[in-house]
Amino acid sequence: MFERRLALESIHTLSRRYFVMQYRCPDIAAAAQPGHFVMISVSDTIDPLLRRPMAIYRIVREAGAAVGFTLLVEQTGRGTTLMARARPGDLADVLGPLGCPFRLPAAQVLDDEEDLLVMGGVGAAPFPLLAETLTNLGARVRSFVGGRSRENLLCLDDFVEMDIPVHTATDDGSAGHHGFVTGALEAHLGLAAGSPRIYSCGPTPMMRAVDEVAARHGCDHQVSLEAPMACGIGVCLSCVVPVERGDARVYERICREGPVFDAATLGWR
Amino acid sequence: MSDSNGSVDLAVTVGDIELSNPILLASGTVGYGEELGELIDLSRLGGIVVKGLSLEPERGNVPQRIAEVPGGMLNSIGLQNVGADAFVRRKLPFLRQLDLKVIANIWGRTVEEYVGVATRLDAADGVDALELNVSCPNIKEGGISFGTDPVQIHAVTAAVRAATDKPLWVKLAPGVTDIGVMALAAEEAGADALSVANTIRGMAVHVGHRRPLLATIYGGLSGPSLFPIVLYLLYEVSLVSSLPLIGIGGVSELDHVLQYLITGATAVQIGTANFYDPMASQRLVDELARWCCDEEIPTVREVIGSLQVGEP
Repeated sequence: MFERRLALESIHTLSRRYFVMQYRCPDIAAAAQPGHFVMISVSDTIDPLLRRPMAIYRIVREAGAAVGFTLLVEQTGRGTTLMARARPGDLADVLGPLGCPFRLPAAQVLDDEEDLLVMGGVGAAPFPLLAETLTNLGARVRSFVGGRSRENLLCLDDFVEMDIPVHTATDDGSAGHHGFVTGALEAHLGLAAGSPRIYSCGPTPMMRAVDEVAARHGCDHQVSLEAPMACGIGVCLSCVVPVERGDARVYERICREGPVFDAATLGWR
Repeated sequence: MSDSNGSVDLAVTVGDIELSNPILLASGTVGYGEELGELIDLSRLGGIVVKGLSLEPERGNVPQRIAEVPGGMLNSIGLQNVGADAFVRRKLPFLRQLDLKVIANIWGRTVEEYVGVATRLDAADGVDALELNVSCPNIKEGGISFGTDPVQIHAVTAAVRAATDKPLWVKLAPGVTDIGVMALAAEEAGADALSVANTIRGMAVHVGHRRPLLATIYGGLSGPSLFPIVLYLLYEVSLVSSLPLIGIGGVSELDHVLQYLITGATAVQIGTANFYDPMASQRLVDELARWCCDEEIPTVREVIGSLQVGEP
């Protein structure tokens, strides 16, 4: 965990709603694992007051060394609107990497199953790094990218670049499967043998629907959650989620014990 | 008393406790210190006030627990904590290795529960003082219902006073008609210091959903927007009470620290700033030392209560 004041290196607009910010920071970049996030300030004033949690999207490498990271941001409110207006050279306070990352499959079980990444909208942000890491381990990775419409399908180029098969789904049928991303997931699971490992991130109803499918097929399922949070390091106790531990149901912190949880512990099933 | 602050003397005394400097971490904003300790050197601070402890572990309120508002935030955590026994067993050993004062914030739903927590902590080595929370806005049965009634403040303070020899600070509620009355009730019942103040009740509504942003409808307002309100409350308390005062509310920069000290606070607690600026407390210690040095003030104690009113 590093606290750094960083100058924005570049900002790249993907579409009306989405943009990518790049920061140079070898400390954070070298320590970052798939599923980690940072807390980033959006203003030098006290309004808005709080930093925003953002998943680490890609690691920037030079000559093999991790030197920076990027954030994939959706402009949804005041904080992200200020972020969208940032220009190269603008300073931000960044704390990271934070949280517990995705659990990676052990080498001896890697070949047994596929690894399926299921995402909705800007929930796609942590998956290119996960895909890259899994691919480097030798995993067979497949992505399922959902969104309301074609413009909400993110990271398609990232997956194509890594030769990862992409299944798309849109609510309005403007691209891929017409319907929820779980439709595309089920279609694949119907053909595939075994119980692939599933990783999901997106709107809660989407992740719950993915978990229903995962439970039915006996799949290990990790989800990355988000919630309003003030600190990102586990001291404010804002971002809690009820988790089943043994016979007890306890509140755990999304920023500290998460953001990645085993879906089976969330009481959805 | 100089540690890394050169020749400037930052030490202050709250009752019988000497603090290496007047910068403390506020209850409910740093847990039990472990997480922030990964970022800053806690031993550079005067002290830490740990998350409010109850007799049994407390689960806390249903989320959503926070909402951002202009210049501040609302919270409704519901005093989620590990309980007094687990604190002593699992959390205190970490704090005891450090060189700062440990103040245990305590609360209960009844006077008996307050006394129970105080009794357990009275036996704990490494707890330097107790801070009585009679002012949490998010616990209906205890907390603020004690803190808005001078008779109840007196009763709970006196009962805890009888149960412990440790220094006893009472953390007052800001949302009262006359905070001086509350301060005097605590003082008469045996408090050694007064912490001014807890969060003040606030609310925010999601316009699109026509629903409160917080699951509990209202919560406690904290952050910079609280600063002038609490500074005035501390001034009011200073007019009636001779006890050492601790300023808590909206401190994020040196100017706030100095305003509290000048108005009569012996120490200040850093709260919400720990969330959005985790280095704030450590930086404020350095900035306070530098300011004293620049102003050629040999001891920060000269600043405390130096407020001039009336004709200049």
